[in-house]
Amino acid sequence: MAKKPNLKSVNRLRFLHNNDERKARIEAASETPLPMEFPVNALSRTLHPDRQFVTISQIKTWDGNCKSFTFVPDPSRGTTQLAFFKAGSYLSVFLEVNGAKLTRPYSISSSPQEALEGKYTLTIKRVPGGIASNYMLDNWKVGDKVTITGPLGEFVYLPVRDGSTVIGVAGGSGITPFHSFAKAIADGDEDFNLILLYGSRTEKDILFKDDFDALEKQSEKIKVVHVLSDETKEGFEHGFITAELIRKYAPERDYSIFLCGPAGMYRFLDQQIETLHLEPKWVRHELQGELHAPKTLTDYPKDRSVPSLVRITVRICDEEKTIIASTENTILQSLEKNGIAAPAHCRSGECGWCHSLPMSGEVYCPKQMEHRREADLAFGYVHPCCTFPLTDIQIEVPYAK
Amino acid sequence: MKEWVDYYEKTTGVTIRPYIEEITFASPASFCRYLNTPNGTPYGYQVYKWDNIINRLNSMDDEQMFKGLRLTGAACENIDGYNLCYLNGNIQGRKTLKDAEEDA
Repeated sequence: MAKKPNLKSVNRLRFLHNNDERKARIEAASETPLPMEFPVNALSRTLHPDRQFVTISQIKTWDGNCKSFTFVPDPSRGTTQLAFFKAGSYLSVFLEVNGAKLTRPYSISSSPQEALEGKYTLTIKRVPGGIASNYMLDNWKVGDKVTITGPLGEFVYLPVRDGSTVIGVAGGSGITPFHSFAKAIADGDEDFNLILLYGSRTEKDILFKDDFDALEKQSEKIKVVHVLSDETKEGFEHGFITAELIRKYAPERDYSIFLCGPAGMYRFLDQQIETLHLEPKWVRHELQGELHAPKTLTDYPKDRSVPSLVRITVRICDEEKTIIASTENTILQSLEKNGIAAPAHCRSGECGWCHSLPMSGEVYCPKQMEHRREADLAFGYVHPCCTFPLTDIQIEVPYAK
Repeated sequence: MKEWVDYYEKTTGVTIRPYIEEITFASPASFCRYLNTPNGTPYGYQVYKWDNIINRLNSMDDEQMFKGLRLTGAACENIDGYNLCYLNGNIQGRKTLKDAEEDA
């Protein structure tokens, strides 16, 4: 058997000989400067751009409260092609609304193939009282220039981790990533069986119905079950999506459940899915986005008096600014409302893009948004996108590029 | 990714796939995305038998280009790595003080 290498077997003389080779190579080296660009770096920028500059090329209006916006590259601002993505990914949109510098994440509803053809589509639903969605639905028009990130997110299918069948559970505009999944399966970019349980109030509220009807005919790997809560119709399930309905359509084994929809749907379905006795790895939730009304949450500290307004002193690089903030808003929301651009993507406490360090004061992070690492907890780092001030605070926030 | 997991299971005889809860695969493009190293090399440069930490440390003083100018960081003698950068900074700092003492 060969001897195991160890420190004593290292031939130190070889290193001295290497010194001679080193000198010779340096002296014989060419005067040609090193390349300024390397091929893998260029590939990485194509796959993961920080920013993409796009123009709105098409708008489809579903109703007064929901529109699909299609974007194409804007070469005049430097984007000549769109980054490819895995179905289920999202884009962050940069907005400036009445002085507030915002970002909002939206799942891509178009297919990865369409990105190669130079198109992304985002489908946006109006949030009552929401700053960003109301602005986009009421103001965006064809030809408008928009800035977005590259594709982001973890709500994707991985064959080594997920079952060969995915039971997709969607509510309302939560259908958007599943539209991308279904198109990717039909195009051959994804290879799994998708059984989609899509909950809507009535048939006329269903988004992408014609598309899904066509995709079902195109691929036997796609099945769509429409579940109507407020209407009874032949060919449709009636009521809500429950464990019983999942059992009805799921195979006996080797399936994952992917959920995307409103918070109320998650609360109900998490209880339902518990009765299926699946291991946690088989159930995936798309991130929810921002939480509102923190004082209604069960783990909000109710045994103390929290003022309605506090002072937040924020330091970004060498600049410091003090703002007045509502304790009903996350730290990120307060910064944005005061025109301070802070880095953010998922707005759900997961991606860590807004990772910041409070230097004084007390904060609250809802348990359901707690995705910080143990090291973050130990050293006091927070994610401002899901953290609410309880007192005056001083916080150091990274620079938003 | 699937091929690597299959290869691992075949080589070791250990089944891991049913137990994978989360998995991430890092490629040179991943290193480029977060560190912008040339072609995504994990240590920031291509290691050769004549260009590695030991040869660089051995040649440190011979390769000083300008008297009094000391360079420090991940691309220097102690190469890439958090603790190695601190160590390199410490070494170059001491040498700079020694340079200053000699000039005084």
